[in-house]
Amino acid sequence: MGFEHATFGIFIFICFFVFLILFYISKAKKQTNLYIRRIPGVDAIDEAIGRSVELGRPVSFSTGLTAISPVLYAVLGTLHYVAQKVATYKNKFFLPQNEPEVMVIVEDLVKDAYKESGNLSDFDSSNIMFLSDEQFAYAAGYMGLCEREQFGTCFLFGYFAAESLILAEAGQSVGAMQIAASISPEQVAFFICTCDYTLIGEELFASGAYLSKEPIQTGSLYAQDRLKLFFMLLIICGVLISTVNSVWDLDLKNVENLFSFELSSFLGRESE
Amino acid sequence: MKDLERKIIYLFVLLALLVPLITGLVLKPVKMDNAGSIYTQIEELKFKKNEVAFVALDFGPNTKGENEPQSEVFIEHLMLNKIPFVLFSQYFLAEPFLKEIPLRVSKKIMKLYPERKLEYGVDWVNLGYQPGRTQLIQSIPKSDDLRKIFIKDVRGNKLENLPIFKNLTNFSQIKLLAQFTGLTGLFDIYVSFFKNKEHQPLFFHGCTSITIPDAYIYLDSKQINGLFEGIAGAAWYSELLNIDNPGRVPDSSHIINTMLGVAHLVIILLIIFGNIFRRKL
Amino acid sequence: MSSFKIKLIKFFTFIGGIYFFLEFLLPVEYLNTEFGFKFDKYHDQITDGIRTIGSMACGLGILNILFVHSSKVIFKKKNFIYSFVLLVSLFLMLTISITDWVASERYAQRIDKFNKLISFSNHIQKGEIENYNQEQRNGLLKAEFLKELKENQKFIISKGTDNYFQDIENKITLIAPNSKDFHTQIQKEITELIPILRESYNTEYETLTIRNSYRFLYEGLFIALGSAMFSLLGFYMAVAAYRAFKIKSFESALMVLTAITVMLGQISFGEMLWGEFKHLRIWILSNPNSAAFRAIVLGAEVGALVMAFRMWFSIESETFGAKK
Repeated sequence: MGFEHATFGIFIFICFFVFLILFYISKAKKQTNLYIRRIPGVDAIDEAIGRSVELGRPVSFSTGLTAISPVLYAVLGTLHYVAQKVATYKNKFFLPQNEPEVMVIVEDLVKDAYKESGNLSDFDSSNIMFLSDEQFAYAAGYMGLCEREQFGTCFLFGYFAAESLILAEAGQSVGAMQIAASISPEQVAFFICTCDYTLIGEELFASGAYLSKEPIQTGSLYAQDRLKLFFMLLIICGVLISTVNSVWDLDLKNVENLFSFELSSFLGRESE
Repeated sequence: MKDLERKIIYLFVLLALLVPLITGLVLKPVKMDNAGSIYTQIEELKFKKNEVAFVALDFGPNTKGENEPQSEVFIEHLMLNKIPFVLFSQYFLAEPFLKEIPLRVSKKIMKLYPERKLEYGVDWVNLGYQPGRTQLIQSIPKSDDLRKIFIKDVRGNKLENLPIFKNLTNFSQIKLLAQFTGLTGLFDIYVSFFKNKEHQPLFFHGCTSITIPDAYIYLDSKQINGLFEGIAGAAWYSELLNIDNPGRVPDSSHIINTMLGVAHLVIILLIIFGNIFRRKL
Repeated sequence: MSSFKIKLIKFFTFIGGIYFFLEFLLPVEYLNTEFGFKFDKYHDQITDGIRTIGSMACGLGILNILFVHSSKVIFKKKNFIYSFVLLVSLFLMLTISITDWVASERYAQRIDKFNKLISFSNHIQKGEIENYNQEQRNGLLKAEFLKELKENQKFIISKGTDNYFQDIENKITLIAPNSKDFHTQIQKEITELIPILRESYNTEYETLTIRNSYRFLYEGLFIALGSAMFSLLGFYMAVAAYRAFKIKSFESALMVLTAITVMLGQISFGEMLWGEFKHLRIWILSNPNSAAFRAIVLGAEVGALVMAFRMWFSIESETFGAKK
């Protein structure tokens, strides 16, 4: 018998988390004032765009190396808000791209945002340019763009790797206000040193919900938080069980088996 | 921050990196326990006939400063201990390293020990860049015959014609996996999928200094069995090879480690100076 | 977008995701063994299909570069010279890469001819060739081999001695088409010849102008530039540390102290100052650092999980997606 990645325990967990998401989304639709704690970085978005408008300098939004993935989905929520604001103030908006597929999605989204703000004529698709899909070629292109256009505000939202510090320093060197968000802990450290505001980890996913207050986004944010609570409880249980097991030398293998219970043995077949 | 201040700092860092290079200053590396543990495990490993090591060089020219010395010292150790290994990569920019590193190391060993003969196909095989990422890594433990997944080596030779692969069919014959990478997003895939119910190879990881904190999570939970911590790990490993192989020609890891050490010192002094200087202003 | 189109997109999105979800969840091997149902029969084709769609995006990127930078050059906009350089570099690299690939394929095809001879020999032995009698078929094979041998004469001479080519030619000429071990001998000669030819081809290939041009652009420029860009990080990190590591509070003092301890624990100077730095470093990395990293990664991955589920079921907000 081959190796099965999913166990019965994981199947139960999947059912549980699907239920959580659907439950909280429907709750958010009924109850529109669900509380989301303040995220300073997200609050500063309006201030950052306003600053750029006053200085007469363009705004840039970089999704870094984000491919089509859940991270991109989360970033698009914030991008839509930023694009609407920039369109309202009729400011220049640059979106240098690393992935061609993402570029198409971003272009469509930004165009929609301009349409919604009633300034479709100001939309310039040439400002959404593909630089390179090579990490450092992209960073070099971004640096050049930053120096030539003198960005007033830089948004760095998405997945970044080693080029994060280069992008952030490029913005720093032209005196831009920078707001960054990354799920990667290593890059968060660089962003904290170089950017004015940094969103850490899941705050990237929360930013879209925080800005739009939409039921679907707010509901899924709540589901996320409850899921994390569930994991925390699991960790605490695990720690208690191992402590009890080691201190009193109890044989608690059955508990272990519950979580590694395999579908094949559930169906009455022994796995080899 | 003023432009001049920035440029002065760049100059200091440049000088810090150049001084060891020009003066030839080489300092003894710090004893890195994790790299030392890899060394001990390799020394104590008993490879049966038809068992191999898989070595993945998932790095490019960006991180070659740290990953290349790591892979070089590790491959040298495998060759010295007559452990046959299979090289491949999931990162297309690694192709030149897959070709050059084993050739360079084998020449070095044959010069040190003229009686030793290291031959391609017998001591190592290069499978080249293998696209597929998650799909490929998932399929390796599930396969009935590894030769059907890779088919040919980078030179176009059919794998069943190569001595290493003649009887290498099963995933359980892969005794260990060593992966050297720098932020290419491939590390997690090996941790998750390069194992099956019957067999889990030893997993050694070589990372850049930036990803050491990330790799420690896996070391702590024993999902990896050893860690090369940046260039410091490679330098200590090289030191251990020097001890066991007198007359060995040193590699670049010592000098790079020394340069890094001086640069670290300069940065620490800059931080202290920055705090004092700003307070006074 | 009409509601039918939206429903169609949602349907295909769901179908696209369900296969991988079931492949992860179902006991695939068990189903195969017990019910003879091979769920992942088309796994390779499906994943190849996904990669193919993804690779089409390469064309999108090139088109965008052409549009944006061509217009800058044609209308002589500000800094159009940089766009010109970019376009020239793009076409140069494309041309040289494709020509290099064609050249390497040519050598691969030469080797392939000998592999086809082995395959032909196997087909003859299995009786799969219907035309002619056995002796005529063997004669054909021998003639083809001698023809290929002659065409590759200079490669064979360059690797062995001058007589080596003559020896093989004589050996093959002397093998009688009606001999019992005709195919064994022919296949043996071909198998021994292939590595020699491959090495010869490789030597010639490496001396080609196009190969050297490719190497100049790729290893000489591209790889060197990539390394240089990465090396900028070292300088930027120093500047960032100087600027950001300010002791203004207890937390910032703790952060600076921790950073300095970890740095000193890794370098020789740290060991000279105090031998315990390396142990402190390991403690910091194994305990507070791991805890913080795990917490951040857990939170981020849970967020990604929820987002992935929303993507799969097309539970989209009105920000992007269906507008009511």
